[in-house]
Amino acid sequence: MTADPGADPVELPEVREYLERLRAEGWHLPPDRLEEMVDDVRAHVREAVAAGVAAGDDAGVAARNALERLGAPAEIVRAEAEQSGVPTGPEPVPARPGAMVRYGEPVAIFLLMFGAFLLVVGWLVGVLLLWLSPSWRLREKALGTLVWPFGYLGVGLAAGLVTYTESCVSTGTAAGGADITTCTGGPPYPGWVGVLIGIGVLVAPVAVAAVLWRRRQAVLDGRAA
Amino acid sequence: MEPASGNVATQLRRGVLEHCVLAVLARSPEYAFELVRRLSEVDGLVTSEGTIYPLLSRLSRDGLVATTWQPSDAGPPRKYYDLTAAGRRALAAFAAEWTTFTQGVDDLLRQAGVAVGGRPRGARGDR
Repeated sequence: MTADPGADPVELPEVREYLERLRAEGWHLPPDRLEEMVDDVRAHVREAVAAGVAAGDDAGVAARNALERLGAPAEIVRAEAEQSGVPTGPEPVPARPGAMVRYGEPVAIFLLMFGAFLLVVGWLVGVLLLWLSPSWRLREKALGTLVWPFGYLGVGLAAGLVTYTESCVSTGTAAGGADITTCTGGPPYPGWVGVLIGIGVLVAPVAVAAVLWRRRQAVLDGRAA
Repeated sequence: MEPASGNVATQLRRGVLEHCVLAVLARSPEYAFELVRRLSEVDGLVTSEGTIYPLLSRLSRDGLVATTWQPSDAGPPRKYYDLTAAGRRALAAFAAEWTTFTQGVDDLLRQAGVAVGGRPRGARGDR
């Protein structure tokens, strides 16, 4: 692939992927150390590509050479863990991310959406798994918890409350003997607004599930490399 | 490459790399990319260039090197590494140890009849 020589080399797909893998591999490092490491590597790639381009290489080729010379992201993270004394190796912190990531996280996503139908406790288990996950950061955990409490059961209950705020009272008897009822109340907005809110509320858990799944895949891909 | 010699190289590198970093910086402050390039000129010293950064960061935390940001003609400012007084003392201490150590090892190898200061006989070489 020929890259635009004027573009920032760290925006090249292979470099972005490398940096993403570096972040994923370093999930257990202190955040400030991880950021400094990523910044250092990013600056290194910029320098290496500039040097390669000055020597007549295509920017893409120079970037791939630079990444190869940098070594595997896992190797850099291992060096960082060694230098800063962070536990690493076959038993990283927390103890068993493998099983948690492989089984716990998909179950968490399912339970967040539908777990409340399993005696409500299902959703609480989903939240617990969500917060125990090593892949998701605070923002994903907060999102998964708040959108929506009790998943689709919560959506159903909320919809029920909104729909049945109408109150109907019997106001008399018609000539034929039938009751006359008068209904008051109902949502304080036009029907189409209600439909839009309804669609948004229904789609939100799916969107959150997609966000959680994508983050998990990114971490998995990085770890697998 | 024979696995055993590869392992020896790894062990040796682990022990001396940080002092080689200090030695390069003793000549003049360098930004990381140039420092890595200088170290890479020594055969077998740096296998994965990225692993230098965790080392530099630790040397900085230990107070052996100091970092400053300096403008660059070619792009964004560069992080320069310079030896501190503690870094110079550590380098001097290592240099003394190294000389004694390598002389001792060389003597042992000579007594064992193994050539020192060149490729051992029978090794796969360029010639």
